[in-house]
Amino acid sequence: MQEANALYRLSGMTKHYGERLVLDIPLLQIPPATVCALVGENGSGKSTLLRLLALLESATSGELFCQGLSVNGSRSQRAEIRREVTLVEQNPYLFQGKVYDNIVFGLRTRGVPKGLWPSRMKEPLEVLELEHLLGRPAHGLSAGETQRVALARALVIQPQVLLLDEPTANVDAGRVPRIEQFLLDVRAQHGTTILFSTHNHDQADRMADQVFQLVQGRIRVLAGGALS
Amino acid sequence: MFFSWNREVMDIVGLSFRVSTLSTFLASLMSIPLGLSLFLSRFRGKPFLLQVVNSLMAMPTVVIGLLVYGVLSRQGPLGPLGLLYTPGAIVIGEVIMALPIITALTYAAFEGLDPRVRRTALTLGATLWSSSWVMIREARYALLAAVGAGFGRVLSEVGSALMVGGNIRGYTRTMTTAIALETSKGEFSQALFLGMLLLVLALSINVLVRKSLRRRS
Repeated sequence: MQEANALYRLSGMTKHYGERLVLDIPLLQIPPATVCALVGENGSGKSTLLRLLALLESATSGELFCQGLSVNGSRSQRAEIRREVTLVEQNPYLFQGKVYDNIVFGLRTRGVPKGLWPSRMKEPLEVLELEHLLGRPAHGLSAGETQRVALARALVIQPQVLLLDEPTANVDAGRVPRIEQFLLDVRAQHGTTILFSTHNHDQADRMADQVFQLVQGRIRVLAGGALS
Repeated sequence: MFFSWNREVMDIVGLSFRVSTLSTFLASLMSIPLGLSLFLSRFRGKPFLLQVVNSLMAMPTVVIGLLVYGVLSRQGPLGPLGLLYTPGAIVIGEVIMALPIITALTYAAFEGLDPRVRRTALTLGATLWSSSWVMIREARYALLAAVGAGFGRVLSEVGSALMVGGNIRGYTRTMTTAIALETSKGEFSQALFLGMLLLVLALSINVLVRKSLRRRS
């Protein structure tokens, strides 16, 4: 049975790449509107777990429920889940074209009325200091700028679940506190569930209600929560 | 006179360009979705099918001409349509010729595309259909190169056009069939002139494609 208030429920989930086991999670439940941090070394399975939660990859075995819906359900069910979830990868891809085209991509695909775009974009652009980049070609940006654009692109769509893979890894240290605070504000305002991976334990402690550690694909609780 | 540029030559160049453009366009309409579907799908016989598509790229044009001739000839299944020895017959042959080339190069274009493109589109709310459109947009220059290669192939082919077009003066005579005819008549200078025109046309298309590719980078 799924716990009533769990946003995500993973049970008996494994993921193999060929013969190699990269994830083995007997049980994990994530309540809604929480901020969860995933820490662990490179190759511990953090990015794989985030991609599984974003429904971009399939588990080798086990079950994954999101908002009570099984990801193994119908195509429309998967599409419904996917519309509530977005992932910002560690090295995000920006589409060809201008920064503006990238920022509004999700708004366009999700059918957000054009009249709402400016209000959706205002705060993320301001906090991430992107207003002056809107007219620039997306493929000419630095790694830090690219990451900020990708974050803004995800934030403007106001998803229920925000999955962030090392969201501030390439961002200048001076900008990080403001971004962290903004993410916490987003959770407070919209009830967004945020799962992020990081190498920075201090960041995990600062931001997260729950901190999980992945060691060679196996998960354990470091702070603030329980696996079941 | 070394060569003659006259109305007939203009008609020949015009017909060559028209049938090549139309057949490349029709082949692209089928090949690009086909190449994308092949890339996105997973099934048991996929490696074999890819091998077949790649092998068909090298299919001799006379064999294609022979097959199309068989289908369009009076006794063939499409004989009643009366398409044999018409520009339409040449187009059919050339579409068949361009299909495997554009399909295989389309597949290669998507294989070379950053895998994050589709993932990013999906995670931002794109549907299967709209994420495919995003992939096409992101790979458009490689796809343009694929279409250019298909165009080059059909523009320069002679075997099929000769067999199913019949090389009828003022009706189905293309640049390549005219070159073959002029050479057989011993009119080397005229054949050479047409050959140079063909080369210029092919080079121009190539330059256009490359220019748009360079504009991208």
